[in-house]
Amino acid sequence: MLQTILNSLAAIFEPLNILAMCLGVAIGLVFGSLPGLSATMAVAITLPFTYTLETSTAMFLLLGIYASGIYAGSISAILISTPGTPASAATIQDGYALARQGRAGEALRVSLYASVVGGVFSALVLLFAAPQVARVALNFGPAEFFALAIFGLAIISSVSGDSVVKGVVMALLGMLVATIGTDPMIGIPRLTFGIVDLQSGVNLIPALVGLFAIAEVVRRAQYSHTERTDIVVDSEREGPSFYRTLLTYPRTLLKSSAIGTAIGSIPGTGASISTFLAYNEAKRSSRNKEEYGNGSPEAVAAAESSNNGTTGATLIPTLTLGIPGDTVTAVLLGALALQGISAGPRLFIEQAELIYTIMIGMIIIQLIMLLEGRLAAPIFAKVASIPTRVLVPFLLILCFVGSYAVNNTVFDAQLMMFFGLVALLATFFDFPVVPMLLGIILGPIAEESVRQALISSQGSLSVFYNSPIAVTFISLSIVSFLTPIIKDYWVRRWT
Amino acid sequence: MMDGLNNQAKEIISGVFVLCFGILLWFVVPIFVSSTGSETDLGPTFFPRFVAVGLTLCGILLLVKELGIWISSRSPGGEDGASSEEPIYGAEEDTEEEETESKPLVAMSVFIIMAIYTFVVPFAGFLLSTIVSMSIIMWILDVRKWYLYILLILFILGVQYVFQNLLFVFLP
Repeated sequence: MLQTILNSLAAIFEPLNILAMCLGVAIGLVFGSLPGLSATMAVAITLPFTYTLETSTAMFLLLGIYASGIYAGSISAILISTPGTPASAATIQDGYALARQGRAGEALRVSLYASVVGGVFSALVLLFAAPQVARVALNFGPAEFFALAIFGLAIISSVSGDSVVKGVVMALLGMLVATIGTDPMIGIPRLTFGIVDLQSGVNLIPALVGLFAIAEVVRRAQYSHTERTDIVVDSEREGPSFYRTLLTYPRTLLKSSAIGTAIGSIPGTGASISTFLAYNEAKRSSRNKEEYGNGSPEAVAAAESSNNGTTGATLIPTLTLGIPGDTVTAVLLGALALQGISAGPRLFIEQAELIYTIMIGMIIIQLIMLLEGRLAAPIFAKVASIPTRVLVPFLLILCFVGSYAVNNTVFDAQLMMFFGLVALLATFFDFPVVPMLLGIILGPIAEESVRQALISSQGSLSVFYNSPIAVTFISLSIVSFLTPIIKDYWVRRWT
Repeated sequence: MMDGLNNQAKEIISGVFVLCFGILLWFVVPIFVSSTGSETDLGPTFFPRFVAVGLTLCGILLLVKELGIWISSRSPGGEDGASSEEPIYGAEEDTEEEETESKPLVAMSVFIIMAIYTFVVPFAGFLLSTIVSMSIIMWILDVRKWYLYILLILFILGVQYVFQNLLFVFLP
């Protein structure tokens, strides 16, 4: 174990890995600062460029984007009252109020320091909790893996939109997409419609870029004429030091980081939920409740430590079970798949050094974020004012070349547009897109394990209900599927 | 934001589409799966048909739910059919836009030009087709500053150089 950690540390401090972290953090800061461009989009667009990189280098680049992208959403929230990412929505009220009072520098610094505290806390929990979860998951057989895949799809379907049934529909469509290509057990072509390019299946990258980047860019284009470019405050005034921030709000930072980490470790949740919970809890327990909403640095600290507190925690189910904690980690699962690595408990045995490199690297990324965020805050404040309409063509070019470069075929770019259309139509009809990606990722696991389990039991379903773990996951899936439906029924019945 | 009636129409269209797609998929799957003649029930058609059953059930559930809402809206004191449950995840993204006027035609134009571009690029080449189509998109998005067009062309040239000379990916 000690040797593994020492080897991991040596790998982390390789110049190329440090460079990847720095670059990733910078890209995340740019994307996060721009209103409407999310960390998910940044990771999806950058993903194809990591194909030729070493796995650890690729992951550091993407994790750097993830961590700093979540933090940087607060920059535009504070300066122009528009959240750069949904996770920063809770920061707007107090952050912008502080900026209007001429305390933008203070708000930006508290936001950065709180994000770093939350991120480090979360990364430490990841480092210690993930191996324990993986140890339990090592006992899983095909029946348990099928139940786990269904659980992952059920829970994400139930929290991804306003209708659990629509979430399930998208998850099923994702699983259908995953069946296109050669059958994994018999090796005959399936649902390829005679298209040669589909024989090896639908490539994950065009699907990812289409679902999350093309759809988002096109969706943004229709609001491009309404963009705000009026940054009314200067970004860099005197603010508290890192240590002063720690000493001023120790309880808030710790509690909010813990809330972020706890919420983040539940598959399908993510920063958007945790940040409001942490904000409300900080307000409830604060001695200065009246300051909340009118420019409270403590409120900014609570929201920001919580949203970055999810970044390490979302990797716990992602790395140990192969079930993503949020949208960005779903894309990161795709990054691992692109490198030929299947996330799951066996990863902790077969690729222990890589896993520890990634987990310890998350802590280093937070420190790089502290450095870059501190030094480059004025630049990113200016970035926040670039109108999205100027960026649209640039982003579309990156989407095209990214999808094309995976297999050097224009077919993948056309596939990207198809998935973009699917995402746009889905959004129009209020279907959530995230479960579809999960279906594409978890579909092959679900299919192989259910077929293996049923073949081994000669078609008997007892293989599922004889396993306590499978029964637990299937029960939880049913509960997570039924709870919103029953809740909806009661709301309609009694209101 | 759609009003109650449109919302209900959207829900019914969704339900009918999912139901029909599920049923159609059940029958289409065996046609588009090559057969070796020796597969069992757990062969290559098993999982796509499992998905087909799931989609059919979901389609029924969506329609039943809408039917329930329609009946309750007809009863005295019933609601108007709008969904009462607040979205939990991802909802924050929509709040900002819902308050402002959107230009769906602009978005549609951007999407269509991009789609056409992916079909034209193998014939016209990356450089020419990208410069033309992206400049048109920029114009549609109301960008009128000439230097931004120069910047766009420089960016395209930069992308081509990086891909062909550093990443050794030859663009069409």
